[in-house]
Amino acid sequence: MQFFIQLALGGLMVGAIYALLGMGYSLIYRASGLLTFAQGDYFMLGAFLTFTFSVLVGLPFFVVLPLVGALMLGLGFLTERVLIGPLIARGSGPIYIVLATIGLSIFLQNMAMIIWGSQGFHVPSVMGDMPMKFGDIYVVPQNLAIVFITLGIMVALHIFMNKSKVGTALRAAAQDKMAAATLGINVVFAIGLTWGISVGLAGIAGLLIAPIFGVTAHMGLLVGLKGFAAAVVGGYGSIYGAVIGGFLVGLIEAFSSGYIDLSFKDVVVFGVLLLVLFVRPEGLLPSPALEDL
Amino acid sequence: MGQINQKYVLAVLLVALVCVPLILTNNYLLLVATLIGIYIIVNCGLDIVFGYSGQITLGQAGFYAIGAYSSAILSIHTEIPVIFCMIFGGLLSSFLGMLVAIPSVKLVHHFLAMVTIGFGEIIRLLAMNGGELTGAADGISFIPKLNLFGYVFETVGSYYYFVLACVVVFLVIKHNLVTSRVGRAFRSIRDDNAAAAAFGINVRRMKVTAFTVEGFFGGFGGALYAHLVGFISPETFALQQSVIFLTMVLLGGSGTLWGPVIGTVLISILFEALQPFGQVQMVVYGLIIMVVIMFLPRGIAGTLNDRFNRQNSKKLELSSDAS
Repeated sequence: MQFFIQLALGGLMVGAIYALLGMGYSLIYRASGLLTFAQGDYFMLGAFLTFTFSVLVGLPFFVVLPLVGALMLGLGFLTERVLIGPLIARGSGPIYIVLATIGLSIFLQNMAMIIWGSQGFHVPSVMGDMPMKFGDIYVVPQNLAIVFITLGIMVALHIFMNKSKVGTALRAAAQDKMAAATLGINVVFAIGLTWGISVGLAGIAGLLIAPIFGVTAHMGLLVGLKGFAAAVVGGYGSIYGAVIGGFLVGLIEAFSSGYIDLSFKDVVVFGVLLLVLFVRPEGLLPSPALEDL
Repeated sequence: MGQINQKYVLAVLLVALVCVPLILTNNYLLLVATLIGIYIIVNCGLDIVFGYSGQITLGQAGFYAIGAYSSAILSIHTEIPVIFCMIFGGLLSSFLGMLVAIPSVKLVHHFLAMVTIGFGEIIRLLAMNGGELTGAADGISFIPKLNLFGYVFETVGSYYYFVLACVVVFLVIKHNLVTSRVGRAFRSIRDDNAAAAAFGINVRRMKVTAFTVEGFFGGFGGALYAHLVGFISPETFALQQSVIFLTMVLLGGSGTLWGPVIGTVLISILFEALQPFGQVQMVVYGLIIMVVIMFLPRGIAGTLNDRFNRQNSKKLELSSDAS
């Protein structure tokens, strides 16, 4: 039982990270109808920025958090304005835009390697690295913090999207660009901001995970794919689906590594992803994954 | 007139290619030339799915791995002649391609991309965790050389000719396939799914066919690679390799006969030239993908074709004016 709980806690922690990335995938899908392959690399970039500001520069955590968030938000906005927006505007097929994000992903990953080097770095946790003990169970404070921060972000995002004026504009722009524009919504800005939020979420995920897994230039690839798995399992395009999917994927991964074999956990996760896409492509909540008749 | 010209060009090209080992005495450059040949075969298969049928696939490295591993394992553990091991590698990869395609061809682009990535990753992870059979992270070494009618392809130079012959065969197969009824069906699916179905094309079956063909091209290419280098390990078959294949097709021009060939040659040369710069190599790679999609979405061959066609249609307009 102790082993089970320990695994479940670990699963929830990585699941929260997948959920943060998954929310980004879903937001982008709703705004631009696209899949981006660069989420994992923005996640990696967030971790590297955290390392740079908190270790190299020595800024306190409460400065680093908003700084990384803001920088990533700007980067996401820029990505949409410079790369994705113009491609959509000239009528490139989705297949090519997906490929462009793959190019972006390769570019970012290798730029990071040039700038920071290919070795791994350690980032100390603000909450300390000592595990807390509850009965038989050990919990690293950072792990708990990740789960709660993710849930907090989800609630904040919900309130922002549904209650605030800007959030309503974002949803309107995602739903019908023409109609939104006629109502005076700045659609260009709205779509850019949605990308900014998505990339910002990925960056925050990188910031949160940095003290636990360390920082390397390759850290984004698998996490990016699993974040996508989270979005698909939950129902692509749904923010709450992505959160549920994220925790599910995290738990599946943790239990398969605990009860089957550590080295097969990725095979199991990708197997589940394929199975979901084959059997129930609309995910747990409905979404449009099917093409033909 | 154009037809005859093309034949001359092809003949000259073939003669030049036959002469390559006589000029390139450097063994490393000859190895690169042979690899280019193998990549051309793989990319032709990829182009049938991506360029002609309009389906995105990032699992090419998976097919490549299946062919390489199955042919290597078979030739080491059994007495079966290497050439049959290679063909088996191609067929197995083709069969698995079909199996994956059957449930996944109903998905739209990005989901299909993800399925094929998942497929490729699973193959790589299985190779990584395959224990003694696949040699895990160490891979398989001492893979036997090709032996045809008692002649052993010991040197890279001799193997180059074998690969060259294979390239010609596969190009002819591709040409015949894409100009056939099946090829037209592929293109109609790419251009408009619903319209293709309305004309009585079984869309899903055609997509599965495309993936099955791709699997054979990729698997056979992988087998060629295994018996050329004599050593394979999971690293060779990472997602990055699939992306490189796709970039080659994209830059050269997808959905054309010569596009993938041009792209493969150009990117391979660029890659070798950037080798000394380490990481910059991949940064440039990423930039190329973005720039090509921005400014050259139809690739080199596609852009040239467009220009050529425009000139031709201008001529036609002029002559019709005259009449």
